[in-house]
Amino acid sequence: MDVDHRTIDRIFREESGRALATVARIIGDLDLAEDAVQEAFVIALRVWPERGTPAAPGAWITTTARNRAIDRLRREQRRSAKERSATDPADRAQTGTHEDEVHPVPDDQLRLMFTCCHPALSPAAQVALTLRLVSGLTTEEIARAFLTPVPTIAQRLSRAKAKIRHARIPLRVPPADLLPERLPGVLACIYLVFTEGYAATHGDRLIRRELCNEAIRLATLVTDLLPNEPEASGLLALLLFQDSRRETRQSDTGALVVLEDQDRQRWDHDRIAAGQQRLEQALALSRPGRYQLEAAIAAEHARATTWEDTDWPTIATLYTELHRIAPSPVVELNHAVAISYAQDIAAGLALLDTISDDRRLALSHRLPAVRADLLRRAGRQQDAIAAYREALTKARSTPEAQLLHDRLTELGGSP
Amino acid sequence: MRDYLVLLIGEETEADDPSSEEFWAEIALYERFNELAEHAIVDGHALEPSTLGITFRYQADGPVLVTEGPYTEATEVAGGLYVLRAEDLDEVIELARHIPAASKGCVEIRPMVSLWRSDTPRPDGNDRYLALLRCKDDGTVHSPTWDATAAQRAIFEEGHRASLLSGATLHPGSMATTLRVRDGQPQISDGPFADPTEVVGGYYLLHASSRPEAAAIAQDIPLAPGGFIELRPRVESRGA
Repeated sequence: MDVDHRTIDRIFREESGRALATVARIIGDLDLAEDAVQEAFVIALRVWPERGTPAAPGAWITTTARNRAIDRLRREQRRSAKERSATDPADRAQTGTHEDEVHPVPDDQLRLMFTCCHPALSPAAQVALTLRLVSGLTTEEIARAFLTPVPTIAQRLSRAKAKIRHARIPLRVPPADLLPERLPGVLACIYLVFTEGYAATHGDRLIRRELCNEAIRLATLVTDLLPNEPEASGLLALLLFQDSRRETRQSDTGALVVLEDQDRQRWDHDRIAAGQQRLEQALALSRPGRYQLEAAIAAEHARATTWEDTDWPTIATLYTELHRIAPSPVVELNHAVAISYAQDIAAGLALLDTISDDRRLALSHRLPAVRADLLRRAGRQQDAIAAYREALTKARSTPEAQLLHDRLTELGGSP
Repeated sequence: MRDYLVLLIGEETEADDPSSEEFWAEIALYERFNELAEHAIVDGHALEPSTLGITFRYQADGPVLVTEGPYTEATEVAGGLYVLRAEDLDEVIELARHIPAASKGCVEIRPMVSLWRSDTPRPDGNDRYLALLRCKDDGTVHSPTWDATAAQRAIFEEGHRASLLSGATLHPGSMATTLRVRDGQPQISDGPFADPTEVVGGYYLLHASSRPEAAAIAQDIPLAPGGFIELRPRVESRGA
C-alpha cells in the first residue's frame, strides 16, 4: 500500500501542473480547478491501488478533475440560479460530454505561467505560485527550498490566489502586443527559481537540485511554445550553461570553488552542448537581449578548455554590450574582471572606481572582494589585505566568508 | 465585468492652479482620456487641492479629532479618482496607463466589493465632497479595521440618505495594484501606493450646501481605531 501511495504521489507531482492548467482553462476558475485536481488525487488514492494506475495518468487526472469541477459548478448553479452571471463558468465548460477524455494541451501550462507571473503579483508570490501550481511542489517543499517558515509560504500562496480572484487577473497568454512587456516577468521568475536552486550554500541539496531542473523544464516549455522569442531561448541557454557547472561549484567539504579553479572535466558537457544549441537558436532571430548576452558570456567560459584559454576580449565586449542594454552594478563588477584580463588590471580597477559609490553595492561583499582579487593579482599585497578584510565584514554566508578568509591568510594577512 | 476604483496620486503643482497654462493643458489630456475610456468610465471626480481638505481621526478617549488641511506631510496625495468597469485587471491597466496621473505620479487600482449610486437629485448650489475612508490595513485578505465598522456604516448611510450620492467598499490593500508609466512603459507593482496605515477602504460622495455642513456629515462616519476620513471638495465646473 505504501509503495502505491508513493507512486501516486510521484505521478501527481509530474502530471498535476498540466492537469491544473487545462482544467483552469476549461472552467475559467483557478481555485475551483485546484480543488478539483486535489479531489482527483483523493479519488486516485482510493481507486488506483485496486484497478492499477491508468495507462495515461495525465489524461485520467485531467478528465476526473474536469468532471468534478463541472459537477460542483452545477450544484452551485442549482443552489443560486438567481445569482448567475452572464459568463457562467458552467456554461463555458460545456465543451464535450462528461465522458470525453481530456488531454492536456501544452499551451495550457504557458497560460498558467503567465498568470502566476503576472506583474500585479509580487516577485516572491510569483515564484511561490509557479512552483506550487505549475511545478506541483508542496507548500512544505517550497518552504524548505527557500528556508522560509511553512506558514509564511502558505499565506503568500493564499494571498496570491485571492488577488488573482478578487482583482481578476486573467487566465491567459497575453496578446501579441502585450507579450514584450509580460515575457520578461515570466523569464525573471524562472531565473529566480534557478538562482535559488543554484545558490546551494545551505539547505537541502536535493530540493535545490530539483529547483534547477524545474527551472530548466519551465524555460524549455516557454521556449518551445514561444519559438520567436529569442530571450526565452537565451535564458534557457544561460541556465543550461550555469547548470553544467553545478557539480564543481562546491568541494566535498562545502567550500566554494571559483570558476578559475573548477575541474572542467566534471562540467556536464551534454548540458553545454544543449546550451550551445539553444544559444544559436536565439541568435538566429537577430534580436539581442540581456539573457542572450549572459548566455554568450557563459558560452565563452564553457568553450575554454582551461581558465588560461578564456577569450577575455570577447567576454569584455559582451559585457560592454550587456551594460548598455541592462546596466547593473553586478554587471559592472564582472565587466571589471573581464577587462582586467582583456586589457590590464589597472583598467579593471579603474572601472571599479566608477561604481564604488553605488548604493546598491554598499551592503555586499562583492565590490571589495573583486577589488581585493585585482589588487592581489597586481602584487599590491597590503592593499589587497585591506580589501579582503573589508569584504569579510560584509560576507553573508559561511562558504563566502571561508573563501575570503583563505585568500587573506594566503597573503599573510589576518582578519 | 467588475468595477475598479482608480485613485490618481501625485504631487500638487502649478497644474492644479486654474489660472495656469499647465492646468488647461492637463484638462485637455484628461478630456482625451475620457473619450478613449468612455465605454468603461462609470464615474470620475477631480479633487480640489489637499489644503482645502479636512481630516477626521478616530480617538480612543474622545470625540473625532478634526483638522484642516492635508492629512499627511507627504508630497504625493490623491488628486482624483475614476471608477472603471472592465472584464479583468489587464483591461483596467490598458486603460489606466493613459491617465495623465500615471505618467506624472501613479495610479492605484483597487477592485471594488460594492458600489452604489443614488438617484437623489442634487439641489442647485449644493457642492459635492468626497469622503475617503482610510484605515490601517495589515495586508491580509480581509481588512479587520474596515470590517469592524461595517454594521455602523449601514446605520450612517440610512441616517444620511438624503446627502449621500454614492458609496463604495473596496477589497483590502493586499488586492491593490499600483501603476506608473515612465517613458511610455508601464511599471506594474503589487500593493497599494499608500502607507499601510492609510489605505483607502471605501468612500462616500456626498453633497452639502456648505463646507460646515459637509464636515458635519463626515464627522458622523463611523471610525475604528486607526481609521480616519479624508474629506475633499470635488472640483465643480462652474458655468460654461
